[in-house]
Amino acid sequence: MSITATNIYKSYGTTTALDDVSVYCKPGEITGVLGLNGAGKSTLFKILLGLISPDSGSIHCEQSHAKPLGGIIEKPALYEYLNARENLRVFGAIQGANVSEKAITGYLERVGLDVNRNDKVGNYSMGMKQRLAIAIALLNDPPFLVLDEPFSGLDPMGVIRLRNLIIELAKEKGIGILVSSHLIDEMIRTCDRIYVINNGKIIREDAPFTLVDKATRSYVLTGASLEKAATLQGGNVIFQGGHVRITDPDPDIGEILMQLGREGFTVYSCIPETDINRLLHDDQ
Amino acid sequence: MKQYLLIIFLCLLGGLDVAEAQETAILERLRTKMEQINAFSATVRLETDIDFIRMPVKTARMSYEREQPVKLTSEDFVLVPKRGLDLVMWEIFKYDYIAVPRGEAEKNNTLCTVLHVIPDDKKAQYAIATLFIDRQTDRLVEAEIQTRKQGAYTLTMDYAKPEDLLPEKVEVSFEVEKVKIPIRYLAREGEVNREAYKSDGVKTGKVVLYFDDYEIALKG
Amino acid sequence: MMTNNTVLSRTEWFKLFRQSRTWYALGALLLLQVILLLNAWYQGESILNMLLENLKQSFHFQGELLNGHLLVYIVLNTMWFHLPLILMIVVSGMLTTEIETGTLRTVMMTGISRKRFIRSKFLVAVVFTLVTVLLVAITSGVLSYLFFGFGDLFVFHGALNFFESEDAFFRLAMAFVAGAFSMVFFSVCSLLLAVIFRETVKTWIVAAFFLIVCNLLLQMQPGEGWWKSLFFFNLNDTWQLFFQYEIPWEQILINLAMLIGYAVAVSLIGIWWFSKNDIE
Repeated sequence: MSITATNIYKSYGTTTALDDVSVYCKPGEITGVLGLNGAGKSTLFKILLGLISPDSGSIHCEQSHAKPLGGIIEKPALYEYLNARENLRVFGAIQGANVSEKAITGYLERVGLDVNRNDKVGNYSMGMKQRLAIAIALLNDPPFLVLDEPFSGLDPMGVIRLRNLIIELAKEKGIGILVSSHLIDEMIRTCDRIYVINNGKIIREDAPFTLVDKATRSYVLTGASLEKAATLQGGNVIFQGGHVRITDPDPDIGEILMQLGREGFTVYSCIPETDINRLLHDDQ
Repeated sequence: MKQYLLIIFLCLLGGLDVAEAQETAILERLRTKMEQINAFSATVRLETDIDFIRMPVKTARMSYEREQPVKLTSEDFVLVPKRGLDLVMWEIFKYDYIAVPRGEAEKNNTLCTVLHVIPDDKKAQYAIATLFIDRQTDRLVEAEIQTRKQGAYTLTMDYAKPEDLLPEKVEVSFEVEKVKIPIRYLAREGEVNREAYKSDGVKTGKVVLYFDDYEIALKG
Repeated sequence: MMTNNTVLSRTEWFKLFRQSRTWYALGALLLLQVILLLNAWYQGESILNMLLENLKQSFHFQGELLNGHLLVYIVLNTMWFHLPLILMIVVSGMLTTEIETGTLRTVMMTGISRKRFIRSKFLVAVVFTLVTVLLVAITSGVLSYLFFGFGDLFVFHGALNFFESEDAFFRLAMAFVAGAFSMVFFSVCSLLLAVIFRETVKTWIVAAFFLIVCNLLLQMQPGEGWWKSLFFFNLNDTWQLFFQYEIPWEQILINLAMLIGYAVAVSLIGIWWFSKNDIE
């Protein structure tokens, strides 16, 4: 049981949007489609959701379900003049979902929205709109979700909350989730498996840690008095306040951290700084 | 011989005067008949026959009191003809007049005496009236009236019974200018040839009045 | 659970009346009627005097011609540009707004069939149009009769026609009924334009242009005889036929049947077009 797109082609005039794209997602799995803007992610998702037709190729969803797939494309599109409950009621009624007050409360709680809020959705923050859009996508309990650029426009807290929600839906509810984004760090933190798409082609399919390795151009370490560490004395290290940026294109970060430990320094955090272009072009 | 000729001439003149006097007497009889009506009221049904007006038949109550204008009352909207309601010919006999016999004519299979009536007072609203009076019943059968300011109109009267004083049907024919430019609110745009309506000129209109339920109050 | 068409239509109806612009549109129509009535009140007497000037040489008028019936008739006459324009704006907005805000995508992602969705839009457009015409008829009637009372209706239609109060009421009511068919035609056309052009402003411009051209062609009355009825723009003033002295029922029924035919054809094209095209 999975959702599969096989050998999808789509072109607009002379521009090829998707070129022989094949992806799949299994239940409970979070599958990422990573690519720059215009790479073809939204086109692929629109095809998956049946909004546009591919020139060739096929979509297969093994689950025989009233609504096999729910989703958000580009940004949460809601009736801004209605409140959250009314939005859920309208979208639910259209698809014949249970729209009782109890059911709607359940959906709101599931995505962490205030069940007592009655003002228009137009007043909501982008993060709240994303959550409500996910609640709408979850109406009728589809086994798969397709979320196109869900992290766009969110503040850091919003990103964390949304990521937790996506992980919870996949891991606790067993929903297979396809997520697209151009934010490599978020994809690495969220997904189980990631496709990299560029110019309408899938150029890579990897586990997140592999992509971290390939996409990281520097690491930022935070710790006390790291400027005194002998390990960090060298050409590819920049000290900035309490941080150290290691700009070596291929550092052995594990070894560096161990040596710092041996020297008696405490490292509070080690954050890889990634560059999506490193994934798109093998020569970088 | 000359004396005889003069006598014959005077006799002829006198004979003419006698004939004239006989013909104008019918007018006086008509006047007397009309003047014995102090007041009357009747139900009147109005049929409008003007080619650019289409209107359903209307009913009104008409009332007249001596020397007062005729009144029409109706719950409906009615086009009341300005002329032709003067069934007792009050306007004709109001001022002094000169009657000139114009011979005989047949109207509606009735032999009539024809008279020109010319008012002798400038206050009269009409300039000349040609009256056709039934020789047998002394009733007005037709009147062609030339007003001073409002054009000419013709009244044709039908009576139900020989003894009736007032008619059961009156046809009022008059000239009326065709309506000017219809304004956009009330006209179907696109179909109106405005110039045509401006220049369409004078049309003859007719209103037919049917009287019923007369209540007549006679003098004395 | 299967969704039935009633639920879909009810949802569309709910959305339509939760949007402030629908209320603005209905408010505008009501305000327009009040302005028209005020105008008629101020100018009505002089308009009638001008029209009836010549008749006044021969007739006294007894009774009030500036009455509720005449005002409803004036409202009817002036409504046939404003009303379709406002209807076209609201009805086309039912779809273009959904396209522009992306809610159409969200709806389409619910798994609902495109045909059923757009069919419900057309259905609601028709019902909304009928309700709006009914509302205009009721409000213009109530305002007119309340302030100006009843009486004979006097109109110019080839000749000066006078209709008695009851007859006038019937004719005015039937004119609204016939007019509703034209309004439905314009509404479904605007929805078809929305399906084709997708953008709100672009659709409004095209819809307004379409309405203006229709009105111009209506004034030209192209065509002769039976095939004159084939041109839809000639059919849009069918309601006026109720003010001919003898109501030409056969012609009216043919015209209305033709209008229904056009409205159905336009709707079918709209449904087909919407179903075959991608939702971007």
